[in-house]
Amino acid sequence: MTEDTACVEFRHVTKIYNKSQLPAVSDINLKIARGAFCCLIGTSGSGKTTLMRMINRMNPITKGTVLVNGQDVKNLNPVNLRRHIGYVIQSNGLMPHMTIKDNITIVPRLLKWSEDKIEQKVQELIQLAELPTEFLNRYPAELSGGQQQRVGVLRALAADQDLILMDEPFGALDPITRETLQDFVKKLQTQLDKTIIFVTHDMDEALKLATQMVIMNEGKVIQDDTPVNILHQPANEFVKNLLGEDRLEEAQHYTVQVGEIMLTDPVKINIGASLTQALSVMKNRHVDTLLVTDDSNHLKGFISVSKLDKRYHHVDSVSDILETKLATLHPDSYLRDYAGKILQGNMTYVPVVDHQDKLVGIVTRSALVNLVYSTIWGSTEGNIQGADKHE
Amino acid sequence: MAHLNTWQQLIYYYQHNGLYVWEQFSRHFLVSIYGVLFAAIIGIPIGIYVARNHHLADFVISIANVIQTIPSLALLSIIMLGLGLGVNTVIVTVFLYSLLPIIKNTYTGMSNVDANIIDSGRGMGMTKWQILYMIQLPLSLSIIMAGIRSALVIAIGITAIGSFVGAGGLGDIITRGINATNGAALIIAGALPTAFMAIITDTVLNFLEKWLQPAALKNS
Repeated sequence: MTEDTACVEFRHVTKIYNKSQLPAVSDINLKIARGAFCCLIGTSGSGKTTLMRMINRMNPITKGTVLVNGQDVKNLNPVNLRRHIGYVIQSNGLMPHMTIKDNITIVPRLLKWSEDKIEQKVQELIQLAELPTEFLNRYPAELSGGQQQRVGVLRALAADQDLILMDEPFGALDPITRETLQDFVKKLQTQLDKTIIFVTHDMDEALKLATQMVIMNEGKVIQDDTPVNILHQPANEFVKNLLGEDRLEEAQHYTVQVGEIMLTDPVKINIGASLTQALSVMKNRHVDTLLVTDDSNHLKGFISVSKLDKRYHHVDSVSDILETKLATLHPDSYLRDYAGKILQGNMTYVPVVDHQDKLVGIVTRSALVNLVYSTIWGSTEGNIQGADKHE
Repeated sequence: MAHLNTWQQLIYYYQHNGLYVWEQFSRHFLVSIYGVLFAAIIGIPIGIYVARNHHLADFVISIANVIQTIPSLALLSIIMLGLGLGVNTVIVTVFLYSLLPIIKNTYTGMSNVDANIIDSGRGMGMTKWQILYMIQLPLSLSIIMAGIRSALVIAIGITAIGSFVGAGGLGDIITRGINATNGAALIIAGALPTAFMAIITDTVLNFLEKWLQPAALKNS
């Protein structure tokens, strides 16, 4: 994901609808990188849908340039352009008179794919969506809202579109279904490496899904950054209000990095040391395991006192009882991504290594627990269960 | 034949003029069908066009409405001035009367197609033509058929009056009954098959309409 290969780029884009004087969006400059999950978020009437619909020329562009993969969309045939951009709308837009299979294969058929290729694609997609194959012969009305929208998403992928536009796709669904579909879309996006532009007014949804968040108000971009940065540094009062107090407070925890809470003097031993030396280090430091490093501090594994005890009389070097299966963290990872795993597992600590695999510290269970207590559970006491689930 | 009652006379008439009645029946039916067919050929595209250009809809439909308000005998006479006596005058009259139900139903059917579905079709890269035949027509076909059905039932009634301008058909038999003394049996001999034709047409087209309705929407 490099900045210079923007998948979609807006240059001074303005849109004025026929009968109104005020621009719906004005002078937008925006880059959306390939592989990004970009959420356009704002109140209704902020121009987010208008902006999105200019990408596939569903809305004509009044002024400025929209580039898709470096090409000005004004120079492209709109019909052909749209066939190569996935499109999902709120009310799923499935054709009620076509079966699920016919619905999914609309774009491939418009593109005149061969029957074999279409059939293959259908099977691939239905498995991806974890829907039973007999659904293919059903009509949309026979499916639940969530299933319909799942099909709506599949349809947008059917012709291998790399860019997918979604206009509040889950707005009409109940919270539980919405969450499953969010996970589904996120999974697809990362697995298949798609670029998704996602219009929403649901902040939780945006924070959960986005790698890039564009906050809009009155036709202008207010802030364009990663969710973490936006939570950390909201551009102005409007963004703060949009985020809400609770989220900003939670964000403190949200953005703690491993490096900030790790202990930098882990108990370690050189791989060449003898077991006697290991035993004395353990005794002095009151620990039951030791991290093992080589001469240049590369983490090699660990040894435990139980194994040492068993093998003490048979071997004499640390390397003989070394266990190499070891989970590690990087100092710049976010704790929110790992806290749950560490707390749920029975690890008492996790070694932290830098990008050269050098041991730089450890994160202990107690440090983590303290952090979790002080930041989330401490501030929103009633939410323990919710926070638990969140992790 | 004065010794027979009306029903006996009717049966007597059918026994002796069966072939003639059948001839008039098919002539009557064809005149109606032709008029409606031409109206469908012209009216459906007009309906589609006004559905796309909503500002024209009121204008076009009110013109069709005005035509509908002219009494059929008057309209027949006016057209007769141009086309003279004969079957063509009746076909043109049927055509004009059929325009309203066909245009109106096509317009309604097309406008009732969910805008979101059309939007998603367009967003997937369908051309206007593809949107028309892949989405709009299949979804509005049963409503268009309902328009054709009511047009055809109206047409059968108008064709009966068409005998006044020399178009033939079952109206001939009815007219003869009206002009004859004690012609009740003749009137019934013409009116009965006319009514029968209208009912059968209505039933068959109703069935066709249901059949054309998209499978998924049949239950709703």
